[in-house]
Amino acid sequence: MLTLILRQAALRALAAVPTLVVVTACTYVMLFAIGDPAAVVAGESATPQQVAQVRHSLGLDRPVIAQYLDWLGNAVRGDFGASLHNRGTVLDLIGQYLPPTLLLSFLALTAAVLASVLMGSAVGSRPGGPVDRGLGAVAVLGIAVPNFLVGYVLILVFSLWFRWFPAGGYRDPAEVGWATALQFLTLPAASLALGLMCVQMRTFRASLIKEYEGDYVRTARMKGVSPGGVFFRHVARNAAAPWVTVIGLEVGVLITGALLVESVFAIPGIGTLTLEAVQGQDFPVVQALVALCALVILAANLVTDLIALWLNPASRGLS
Amino acid sequence: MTEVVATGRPRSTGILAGLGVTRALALGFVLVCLAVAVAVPFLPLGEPNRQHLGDTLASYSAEHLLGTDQLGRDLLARLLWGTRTSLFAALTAIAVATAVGLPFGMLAGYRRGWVEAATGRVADVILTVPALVLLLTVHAALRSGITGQMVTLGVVFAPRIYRVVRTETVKVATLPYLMAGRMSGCSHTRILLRYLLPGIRAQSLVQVSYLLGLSLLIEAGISFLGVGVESPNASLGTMLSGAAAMLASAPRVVLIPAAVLSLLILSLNVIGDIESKGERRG
Amino acid sequence: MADAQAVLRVTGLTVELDRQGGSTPLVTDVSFAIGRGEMVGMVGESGSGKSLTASAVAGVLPRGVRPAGGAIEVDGAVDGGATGPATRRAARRGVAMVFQNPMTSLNPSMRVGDQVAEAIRLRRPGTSRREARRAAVEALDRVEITRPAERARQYPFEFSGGMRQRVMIAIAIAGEPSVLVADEPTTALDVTVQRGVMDLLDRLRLDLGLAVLFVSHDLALVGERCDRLLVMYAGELVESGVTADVLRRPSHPYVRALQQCTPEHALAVGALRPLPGRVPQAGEVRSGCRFTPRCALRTEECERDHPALETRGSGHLVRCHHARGSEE
Repeated sequence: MLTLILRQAALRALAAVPTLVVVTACTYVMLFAIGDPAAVVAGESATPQQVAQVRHSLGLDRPVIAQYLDWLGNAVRGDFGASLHNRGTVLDLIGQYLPPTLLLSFLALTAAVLASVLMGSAVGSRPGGPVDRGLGAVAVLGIAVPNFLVGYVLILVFSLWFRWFPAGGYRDPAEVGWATALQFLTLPAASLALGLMCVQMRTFRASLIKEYEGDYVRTARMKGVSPGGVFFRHVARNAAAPWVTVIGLEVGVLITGALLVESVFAIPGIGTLTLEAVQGQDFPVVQALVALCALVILAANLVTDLIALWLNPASRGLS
Repeated sequence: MTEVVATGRPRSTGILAGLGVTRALALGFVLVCLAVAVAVPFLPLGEPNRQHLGDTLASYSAEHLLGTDQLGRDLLARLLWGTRTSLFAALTAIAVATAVGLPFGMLAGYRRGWVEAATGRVADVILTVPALVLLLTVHAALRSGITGQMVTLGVVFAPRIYRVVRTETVKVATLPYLMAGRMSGCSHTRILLRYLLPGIRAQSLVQVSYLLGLSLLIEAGISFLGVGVESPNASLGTMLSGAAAMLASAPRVVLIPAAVLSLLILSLNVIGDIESKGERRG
Repeated sequence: MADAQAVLRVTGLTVELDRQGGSTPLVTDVSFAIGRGEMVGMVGESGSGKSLTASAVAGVLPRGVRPAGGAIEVDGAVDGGATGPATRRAARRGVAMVFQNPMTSLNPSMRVGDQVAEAIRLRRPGTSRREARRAAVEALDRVEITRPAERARQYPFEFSGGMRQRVMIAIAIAGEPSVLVADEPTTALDVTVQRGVMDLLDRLRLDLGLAVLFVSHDLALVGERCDRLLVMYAGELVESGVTADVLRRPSHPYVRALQQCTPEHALAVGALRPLPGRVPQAGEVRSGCRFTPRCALRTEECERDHPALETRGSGHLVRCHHARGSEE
């Protein structure tokens, strides 16, 4: 069984490579062939001659395919080039801005997953009750309200009215300790988690309801399995597969959300870096960030697909 | 658990039980917003971009029904013009997405084979990168305005429409009435337009409604980040940009456009019945 | 029938569907008994309440449906009325059930052996995991699954329909029941596989002395396999008795009509006579005989009075005003 899953992992990872290449190639053409990095480097007051000179010195007058292949070759070895604005290598920049985003995403995802399991189980085992209706309404609302607006509301209530949490900013846990750092991260993580939680809760609830209708639940009851045993030993595992898949699909939403939430709370993370790079037309940075984003999403989908595969033995037969 | 067969229709569960009323309300709200969006230029409103620096953050008054913002601009005028800008932007994206996604989806679902394989692969690639990240990239390279951004968004959303249309087409294409059409000698074009299109309309409209909400969200997102609608022009997104500073002194300036935006997205989700969707924003 | 030594005794069983503002009876006042090693068939159209009766006996009624009256006695332990939870559990434990659809009745993500072992450990709480696993393999062997040790480690999707039904039977007998309820156990199977499963059930009943309640809509199959028959219509028993009596001398017009719509009868007579009309919906109350609208013999009396279940010869019960009159 393990070998089967590993083989699937290898196969799917291999299938993701062309997607990654196509995505980065399209981005590269967009940025370096249609956009004009030389003009950015030379500055707005540069003469056409100066721009041409910069273009030549940066190797941007070569065919775009050659340029891309160079980029790809270097990227595979971990070299994503340097910022156009003398901010150092792209890799250093990303390394510098990554920790807040990782921390924020990890907190939000963990909170969303835990909350969705708890609430999903609570209402999925007994659908139709008042708690179910209440949470259902909250979920519809939580999905509709954009997370940066949730951020504003949280700031208004918990920061300005109650003064429990700071309204923005970020502190490095290594410098100020976890207690303070978490205080700064609570509101942004909550605004990011709410939407994710609502989607995951609904998925888990729906698939629990569906599983409870399964004939095998009746078999378990016939055997004399207790209600708790029916949930933990039989239903929960089967209900988890679609829910895990949705978590994978939600990673794109998580990235988008992190970008906006970082902006609301002034957190110096990848979202902030992306925005700076976009506004400053720092093409190598943008290119690397898109590649990173695609890589993270493909990897997340791969991992969740494999977990779903492990949870659902029947799908293992098909490859 | 299973209802007993004898009870007939299964009892619906959760908040969608009263969907009839909820949906009607949602549809009503969207229609009102659309009507306002069209009628704004003819309404007796102040100039949305005119600043009154002596009259900033004024509260509700007869002159400014919703008060003024941090630059003394009339909030009601900005709200209505902003709704117009946002809705039109979102509609642009949806029009492009439908124009691209619908024909490819029908073709892929009808002909299957390599057409489906090729278009499906392109769709997969486009769906790998979140829409917002893609729009930021395009903005970095091209510095395109909001219209360009929304056309791009349309292309990015096309695979979503494509997928729904393809799935529905495959379902419908195997139904006997389509076979009957083929046997009676209809051309492929006629089959696609007269037989298939009506069959897939319902599901496609559901997806369109849902994507319209998503487009509003993305427009708000990029305008909020300052790479969409350009200030000083109002959109539901730009009105929220840099709003954190106003939360303390005049939360209304933030909360009113936020509420309108959220209600619009909520209504469109309700119409699009998100219950049946596995995926959503992003 | 040896009523005194009955293993399963159902008395006045009534099952209701809970609804807002009241409840609808789905099964009314059903009584029967089954002795050791006896196989009793329960037949009727869909909606006649036969599956619900079976589910009630096994204690697995769907949500919203509950037993509203009567008692189920298994090996002397009574479930129903004012019995305590301990006796109720004892009664429950004495009954196992095999369901109609073997494709969905097993947990898809649990190894087959573990599903059997779970039943064993629930029956004998002290059993170690290892011991239960070994016993599960034995159980699989007993239901004639080849290479049981290897098969026990597989998942349900690796089994065919017939094999899954055998696993289901293994799970059922693993609980060491004295009563086995089989709800259309072969309906979803290929005809070629049906016989094998039926033979297995037959053998197990004799080996283990099981009292079997066999629910089916297949009159021919039931006639071939069962000692006695119970015929259900619209939630109540309309005729019961020794198989040969009921099939050779059917007294209720419904049973006669049922016989006339079997292919065997059609071949003999040269015409298939379908039964007109449909089973009444749950909650469709009528004061008289429930079969009246579809009955060829209906009279004013049928419209007015609900007939009682009356004896007609030894152990032959019929619910019809015309039962006596129709005797040839």
